Amino acid sequence: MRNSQILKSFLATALFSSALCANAADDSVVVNVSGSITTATCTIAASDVNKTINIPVSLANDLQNASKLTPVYFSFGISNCDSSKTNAVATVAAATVASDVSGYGSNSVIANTGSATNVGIGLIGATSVGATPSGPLPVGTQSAAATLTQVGGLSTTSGTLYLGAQVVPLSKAVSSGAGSVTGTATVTFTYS
Amino acid sequence: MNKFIAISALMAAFVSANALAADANLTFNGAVSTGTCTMNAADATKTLVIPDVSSSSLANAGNTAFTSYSANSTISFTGCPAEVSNVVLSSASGTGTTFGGDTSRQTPASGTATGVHLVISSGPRVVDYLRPGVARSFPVSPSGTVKVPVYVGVTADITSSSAFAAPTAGNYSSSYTLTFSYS
Repeated sequence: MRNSQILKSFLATALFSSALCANAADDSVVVNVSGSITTATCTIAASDVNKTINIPVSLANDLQNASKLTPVYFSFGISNCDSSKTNAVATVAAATVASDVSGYGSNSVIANTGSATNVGIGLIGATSVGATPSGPLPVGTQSAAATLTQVGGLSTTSGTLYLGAQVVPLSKAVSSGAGSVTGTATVTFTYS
Repeated sequence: MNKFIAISALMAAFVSANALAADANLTFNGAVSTGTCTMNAADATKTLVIPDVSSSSLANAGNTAFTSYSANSTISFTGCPAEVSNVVLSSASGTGTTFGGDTSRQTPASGTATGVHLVISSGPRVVDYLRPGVARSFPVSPSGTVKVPVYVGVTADITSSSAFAAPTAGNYSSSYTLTFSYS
């Protein structure tokens, strides 16, 4: 018993002195560790992660006074959610401009990087994100919620969230100039 | 030296965390135009007459009858502005009755022949059949014109996966409305 205690004390001294030696002979190393614990999330269908959306050609006459807008709808497949998640909402981020079309406003529509003038790309999905989404959705604003449900006895939930996009005039009273309309955006989903 | 390595590793971790912040990326393409293509006025109404065929020939031809017993024409568009790159046949709705569960086939709206059904397509092949919800795009030529082909054909009613019943003789007719958009 006593012998073993002495042995331990010897060992500790030996280790300590070797550490001191290392310190004296070389640089010290700082190892920074960082990380984060995330809440359970869902999987977006691989085919929906990078989407190209073709909006039908808009007639300048139809855009004036926003008399006839021609939206196109697109969807996101959401699956593999923790069963506690029953709702999904989308928030779109993009370079924005203002539009005086009803339901939009300042910093509300995606800026056009194409050659057409007095137009932006307006999103739809503030009121409903079903197969025919509705309600002008300003960029940066959360969409309506899509319902996530458990299907086929799976322990996870899944669903589909639809959004729309349409070419909108920036100033309704002004005639829009012909040309291309292009823009990009990112989408972030929030689950609850 | 070791410290530098530790810092750059941390920075890389932050950059990748940032890139993962969005869940999806969107690219939008559209156009504003002062006009669209002009559809040839004479093409607004077309009458296509499918050649006469005997009851037994139609039954024997089975699923490929459409390629033999059909009529076709084209619908012309001219003067398409530069912003319009495609004329899109966005829907074809017929006055007949959907045949069974196959939305590409219709029992004719009127006539004395029975046991036949009609198909409409944008080409001479079965894969060109038009059905609700399926749009077809036709690219605009550099000179701003498009010709959209339209085929109509007749086949005998399918009684099982491979059997076709002989129709009863008589005439038949139906009408289709085609709707176009521009993209």
